[in-house]
Amino acid sequence: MAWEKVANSIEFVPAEYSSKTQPESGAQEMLRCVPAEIDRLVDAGLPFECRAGVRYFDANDLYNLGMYSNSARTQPELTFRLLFRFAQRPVDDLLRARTWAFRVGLECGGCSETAPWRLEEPDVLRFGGSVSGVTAPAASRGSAEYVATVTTTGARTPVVSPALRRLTREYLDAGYRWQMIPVPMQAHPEQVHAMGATSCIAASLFLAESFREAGYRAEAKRGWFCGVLGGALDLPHACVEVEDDDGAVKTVDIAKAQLAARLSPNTAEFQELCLGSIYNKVIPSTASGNAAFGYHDCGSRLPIQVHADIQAVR
Amino acid sequence: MTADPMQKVRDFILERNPKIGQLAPQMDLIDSRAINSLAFVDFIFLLEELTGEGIDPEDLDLDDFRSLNAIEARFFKQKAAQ
Repeated sequence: MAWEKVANSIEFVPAEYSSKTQPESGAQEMLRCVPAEIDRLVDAGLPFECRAGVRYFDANDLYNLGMYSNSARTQPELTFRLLFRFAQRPVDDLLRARTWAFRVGLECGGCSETAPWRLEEPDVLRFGGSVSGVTAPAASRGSAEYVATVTTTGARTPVVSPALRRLTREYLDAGYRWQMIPVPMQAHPEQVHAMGATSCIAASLFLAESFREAGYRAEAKRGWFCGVLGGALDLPHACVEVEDDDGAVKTVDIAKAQLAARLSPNTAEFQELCLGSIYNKVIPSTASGNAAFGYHDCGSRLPIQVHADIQAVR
Repeated sequence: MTADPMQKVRDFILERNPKIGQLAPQMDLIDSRAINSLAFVDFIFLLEELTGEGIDPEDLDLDDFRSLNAIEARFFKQKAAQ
């Protein structure tokens, strides 16, 4: 494996956004590397921090190295290959009603007192879905949980505006490469694009602004991608909601269209579905753009950690 | 299906967790982090290889992986009974 070449093809996360929490053993497992190969990656510029004699790396850097290693055996390659199998299926399967056991854990690391929690809740009613059995978190300290049963459905509502389609196509054709990017950095699409990269939040914020400049009402919205390996992974998701020429609000899920094109052959139908339609594997939330999913009113200045576990109800 | 697929499952887990020593059938593999999020995808591909069938990531429930007993019941006994 020519890891130096892979490292040279990656733009590493800038230091101000980097969080080096993945120990070298995790890097070896994620990239299927032996220690000497990690040394070569470090020599090629992979940023690290050394604590108690152990090197730690940013998980996003490792993910991106794996994604673009073309080895077909790194963890990121295997994960995304598995996750995007759905995009090859007949899209009718993505348009039917699906019910999900929705569980979100909220953790506040810096709080010292009992305080109310606020979660940007599932926002599916507008799209024909429903939410039932909600257990909202009571005021507490440290951690809490939101539980609900959420039903999503799909609808084939492709964008009709030629201007919106042109702007979307221009972005898809701009050559940005999808990368894992820390969420705080994704709030600055210009910085992400300057790396030659894109991500769902950055792309959605940029595209929403482009739509607004073209005279349309548009907003980037955050949500949850459902059925991700039994809750073992928690991928952030974002898309653009835009009021189309026909007066209907359409959802442009540009990052998923781009990822499907890259990861799975024969996904043209799914890619088209991403350009205006809604599908049952996403639960939109009330959070806009790059806003947090949850808050704890304890006064701590640390952002709370939010982990979603969304499993299909069999 | 492989002759003794559960032995391959045990080998997979022990190879990644040599300190465990022995695997009890009811040991919680998730809470003990014997199967962590990094190994999870590898483990799914192993199960696909052993069962000879694709696994839909949407149909997965962490409880299916919680113990050797659960893994056997979900991926091997169900199939054998069909």
